Amino acid sequence: MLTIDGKEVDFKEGATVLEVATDNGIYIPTLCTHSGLLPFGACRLCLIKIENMRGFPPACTTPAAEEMKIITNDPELNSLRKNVLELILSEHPHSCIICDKKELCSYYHISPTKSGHVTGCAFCPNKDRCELKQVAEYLGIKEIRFPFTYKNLPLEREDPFFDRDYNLCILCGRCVRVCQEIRGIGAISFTKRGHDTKIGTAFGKSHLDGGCQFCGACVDACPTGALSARGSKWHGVPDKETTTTCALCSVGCSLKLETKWDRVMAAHPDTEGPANQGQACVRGRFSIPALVNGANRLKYPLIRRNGRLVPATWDEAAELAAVKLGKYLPGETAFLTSPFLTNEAAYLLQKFARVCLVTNNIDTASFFSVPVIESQMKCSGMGAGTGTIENIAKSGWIIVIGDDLLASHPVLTVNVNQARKQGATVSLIGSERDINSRMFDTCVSVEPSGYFPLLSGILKTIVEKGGFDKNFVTGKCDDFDKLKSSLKKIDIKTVAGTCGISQSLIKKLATTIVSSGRGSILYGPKILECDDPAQIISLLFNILLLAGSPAGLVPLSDGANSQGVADMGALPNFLPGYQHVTDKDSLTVFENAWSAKLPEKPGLSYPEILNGAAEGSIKALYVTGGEIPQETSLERLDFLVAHGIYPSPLFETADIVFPAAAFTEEDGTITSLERRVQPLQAGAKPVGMSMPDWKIICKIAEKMNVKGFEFSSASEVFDEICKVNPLISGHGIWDLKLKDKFTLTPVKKTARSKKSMLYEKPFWHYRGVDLTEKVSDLKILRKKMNIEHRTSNIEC
Amino acid sequence: MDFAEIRKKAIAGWKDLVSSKTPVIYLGAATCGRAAGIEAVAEEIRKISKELSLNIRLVEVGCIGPCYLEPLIYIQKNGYPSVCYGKITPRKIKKLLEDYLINNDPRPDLALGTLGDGQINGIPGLFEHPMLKYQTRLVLRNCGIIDPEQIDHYIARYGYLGIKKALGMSPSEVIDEVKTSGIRGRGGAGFPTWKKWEICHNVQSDDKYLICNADEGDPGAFMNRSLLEGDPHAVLEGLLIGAYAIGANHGYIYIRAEYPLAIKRLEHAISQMKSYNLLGNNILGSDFSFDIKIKKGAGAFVCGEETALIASVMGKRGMPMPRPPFPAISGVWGKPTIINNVETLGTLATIIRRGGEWFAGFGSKFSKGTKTFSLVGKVKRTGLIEIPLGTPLKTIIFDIGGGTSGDKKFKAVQTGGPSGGCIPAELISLPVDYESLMSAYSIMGSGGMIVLDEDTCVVDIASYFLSFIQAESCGKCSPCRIGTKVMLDILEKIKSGKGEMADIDKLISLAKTIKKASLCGLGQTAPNSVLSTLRYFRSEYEAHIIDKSCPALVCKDLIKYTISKEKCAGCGICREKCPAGAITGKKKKAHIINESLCVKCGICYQVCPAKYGAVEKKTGFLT
Repeated sequence: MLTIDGKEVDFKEGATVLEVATDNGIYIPTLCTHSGLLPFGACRLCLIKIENMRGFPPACTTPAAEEMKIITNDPELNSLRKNVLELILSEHPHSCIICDKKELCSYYHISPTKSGHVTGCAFCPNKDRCELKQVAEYLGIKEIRFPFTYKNLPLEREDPFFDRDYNLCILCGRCVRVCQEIRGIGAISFTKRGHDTKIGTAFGKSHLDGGCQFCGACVDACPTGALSARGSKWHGVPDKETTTTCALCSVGCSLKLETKWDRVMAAHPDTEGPANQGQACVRGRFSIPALVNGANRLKYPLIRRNGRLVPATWDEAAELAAVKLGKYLPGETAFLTSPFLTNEAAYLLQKFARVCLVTNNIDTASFFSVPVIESQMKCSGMGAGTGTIENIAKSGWIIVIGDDLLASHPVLTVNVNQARKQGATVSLIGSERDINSRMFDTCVSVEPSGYFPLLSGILKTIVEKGGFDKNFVTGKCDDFDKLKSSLKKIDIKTVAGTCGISQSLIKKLATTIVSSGRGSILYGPKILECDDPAQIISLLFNILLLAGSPAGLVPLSDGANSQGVADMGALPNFLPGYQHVTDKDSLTVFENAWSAKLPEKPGLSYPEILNGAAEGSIKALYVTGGEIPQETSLERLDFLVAHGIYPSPLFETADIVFPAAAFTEEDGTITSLERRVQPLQAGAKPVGMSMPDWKIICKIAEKMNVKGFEFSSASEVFDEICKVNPLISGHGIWDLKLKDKFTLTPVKKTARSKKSMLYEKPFWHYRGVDLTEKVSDLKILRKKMNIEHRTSNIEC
Repeated sequence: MDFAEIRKKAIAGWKDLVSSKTPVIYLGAATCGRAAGIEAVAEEIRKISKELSLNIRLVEVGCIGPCYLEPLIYIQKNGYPSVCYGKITPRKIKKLLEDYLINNDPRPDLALGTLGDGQINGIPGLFEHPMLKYQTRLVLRNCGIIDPEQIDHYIARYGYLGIKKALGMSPSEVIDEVKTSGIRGRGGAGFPTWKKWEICHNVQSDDKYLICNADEGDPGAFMNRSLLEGDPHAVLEGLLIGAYAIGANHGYIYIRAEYPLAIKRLEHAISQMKSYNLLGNNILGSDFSFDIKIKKGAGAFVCGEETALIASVMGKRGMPMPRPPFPAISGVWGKPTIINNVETLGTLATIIRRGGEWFAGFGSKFSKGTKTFSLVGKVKRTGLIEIPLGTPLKTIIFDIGGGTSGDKKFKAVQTGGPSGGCIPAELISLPVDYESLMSAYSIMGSGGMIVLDEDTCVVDIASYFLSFIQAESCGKCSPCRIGTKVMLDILEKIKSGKGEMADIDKLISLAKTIKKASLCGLGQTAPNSVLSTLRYFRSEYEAHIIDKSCPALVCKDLIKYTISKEKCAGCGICREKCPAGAITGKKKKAHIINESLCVKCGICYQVCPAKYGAVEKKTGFLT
């Protein structure tokens, strides 16, 4: 209990006075405080008085204590704050702030004024959100007694994505701190000293060279117009803001889409987002408008007439699709799902395949291929990882294997960094880039072929040296002896030689794992390049079990909704909720639910479908994303239907092309890598005549006169999903009921399956559309980061 | 070898040195001596000793204090006390060596005094010298006397007896002893050392840090450098005692990279300590283990501030952090950390060895012990001094310092560096201790003492200190970063004769805001130089503003140089030396300064022969 402005209030241990005041509705002006950042105490505006305390302590750095008597507002404090703000404003273009005609002026200055140098609020891109202006208004600043100093620093516009005008900077340090404390990158810092202090990079390099990842956290934190997103700085206040989930990777960041003139013009992270907590990455923060507003978006359905694709009406196209698809035998049609589809679309697509065309030939071009899912099922009981993002942040050790985390899932590095700040040791097994050393304590550069020996070497060291969680292993794990004896053949020296690393490094990794408590392992698509990815997953899970952390396995899936698409049963052998098609009981349940006879044999997997298409055994193919290996031959296909948002090479052979809505234009749900089902909400109407994928499927089903596809909204589809899929009951992380007893898998070297297939796809893509093709700045960044393509492997 | 044996060996070695049969020459080879040219002198001595085949032993010692007499050497011969000579140049040295070492004439006319036991006729003891007579040397007791690179010299002169004694006491007893001594932090703020220690002592932690703050940055201050260069072991022993008292197991010496000699001496001293088991595990056979690392700072003034120093030690930008948490609870790497000044640590060994009560016998009521000052500015005898606290300013400036150079009128003395203030001539009898200086609106600071005479303009001096503070601000908090710049701009405006009376109010209002609202000590004290000069010399500010004149004839925009027609003899020196070509005139005819070309460098004023004194400085012509 403490007293604040005469009011007795309770407080949480460890809270600062500023937090207590804010929680109790008392406003104290501040400019350097920012949620999630440590107290800094630089702006000196939140000065308060505390009984029996010398001077004017700042509210933002003073911890609340019992019996404190605090005054947050009196004439003396007000005048002190005014004086400080006057000093700040003496170096920030303030003519508009103190102008007595400012209201009238803003009425006439309604259109954006694109000026180079900002000389007043009227010309500032941030005028509608400026915190400095708000504080000045609160304190009633009417004049500045000191001469105005315009620092005349050059505008910095050479780097991609955002502009910097340090003439507007008030050196609150939020950008520096968010980059260091939250993102763990530290690309920028205070440079020089005294009055010349300025935010900058090491040695005055460009941001691109200084390791900036362009996540935009600094831009979002900036209280003034010093940092502004180049693509969206002149749009002013958006007409509306829509909270949705980013569908560009599988982290599941909540974003606020800013809509102006019926288009999504910008996006910024939602501070309430459960997965991202106010953070985003270069894709979510800066790339969405250019991606979804491209001039060559598909706007009409296209059908092939006389060898050419020509615009058609929806009825025409859907009718054609219905008639054609209906012609083939069940074994002759196949469906390839995109891991970027919504749950609703994926659910309806597999329902369409199974109900209308009576085939299980449906699979996804995703990291979540059948062997990976089966291997995960062995570990967790479901086709999913066991970990959550929250868990990552709480881990004592983290291993990232088989992905370039900073490039592929940048927002996860926030949680990794959080764990690291609390003492976690973070290791990277995989590709090597300079910037990684800022994020990882140990970087082990090993090719995917070395994963198996390395992991078995680590496992052997752990088992032999002991120190692992014995209670957990004896109480909850079977087959420890089998594992132990399977490790006998492994020789650490050979392992070190094969991987080209030192034996002590293997020991170091093993020691970290057994001595740092609970851990997390994040594994990415590069494991698919190993001879036996399933074996790698088992090895990783073995390591986690020995460390007593079964809930630490996190798949770094590449598609935004790889998890959801698999959960929805867009797989050749699983119905929704990972119920095997050969399981009679499950099948009956779905036959009843869908009132249809369903195919009983597992369908063809992704490579089998592509092989079938090349050989001619598959006659009709239905593709919902552009992620088809370029080298696939589709010439022998009789009939090809494609969904797309942009023209793709697939269209050369497609007979019908349906224009799909982008994720910013549709409602629905997607499921993140931590199994979190989150809503998508349309920020704008679909471009042209395009439609959400689920609607397209309904439309074709309608033309085929099949019942069970009469939905008028995505939420109706979701309701049905909740009914038939036991995993899904609504939004949020779906419950993974971990087994009581786990099995340690013996280590066994297996050869690569003959049917596997490696192919390349763009590193950053959405439904096969290379983001760097649509967002030119992203191309610059990709070149700088030296990331080319991501290799994927599909196995049968 | 146990410590008793080490000590025995060291004492024997020291005796050998001071009663050496072969002549020994001690060289004052601290940075000050080197700057004055001692290395050239040493080279010359080596050469001469070869030429004259004299077997001379050269010993480098630290600085004994009188900087104005550098370079200093001490010649010791045949068991006689060594004789100190000042202002030695390579040219002078040969004659001196011949006279004393060969012809047995110690040259009393050149000698400053004798050092050591015994007497030499005609030469007084060095400590009878007016610069040293009034001093009490506790911290500096070894400076200029022992070879700082010889741990044995230090040990022979009661070194490491303090830590030996402390290890026989409990840490609380050590803290009590320090409490009895009454010593307060010598870095500036004057916080009782024992109080700081006690907080840290009571915190439970596996790791604790004790840092020696050697980031001496005040303009004109060199107390810490001298001590580290002249007697590094005294500071290191203090670190051991402090670490033992608070239970620290790691030590840092945060020292600016601009002190290469001090760093070298410290590194050397630390390696010697290790070889004597005075550092490392189980020091002197006790349970106490401690290690010391040297962390070089890049020379930022603000890094003397505790939290900024901690940030710098951790490799971060030296920016102060908010308190709480206080360093004593959470400092370096989040562990309890105590930061003590070089001089505080340098005093500890003596305090423990001789007892707190003995130490408290020096000084005044609330300010115990002695304090070192670097006495600089417009004073005859500049140098490093150590006086008991409570000594009046008058003794320091006139008795020790010998009054102002050129016997001009004494105007004020600036104490406490950029954060301190000016004490005017009226307060010359003020005793120098924490309270008295505070009552005169200045501070003790770390010990800089800059004497100002009538030729010093207070507006100029205030703007000098403010420009220093302004440039050294870390840039974190807005009042300090921007406020000091705005104040400086106003001072510049006043100096250029464009000031208005309202500017004085603005200065005071800004100063108040900066003092109240700044984050760290640097900002909170930043306006002091302006406030104290305004308090004591407001009329001088007003002269700049109202009369547009600079009474001290310093501010360039308010003065002009003229040549008196009557006095000028037309010697032409000024015309030759004028860098701007502003002076014209024919030989043996009065010269004239062309004002539009004059850059007011004052060279003509300096070069005009005193017998003419024709160049005159004028002010007040603008109104």
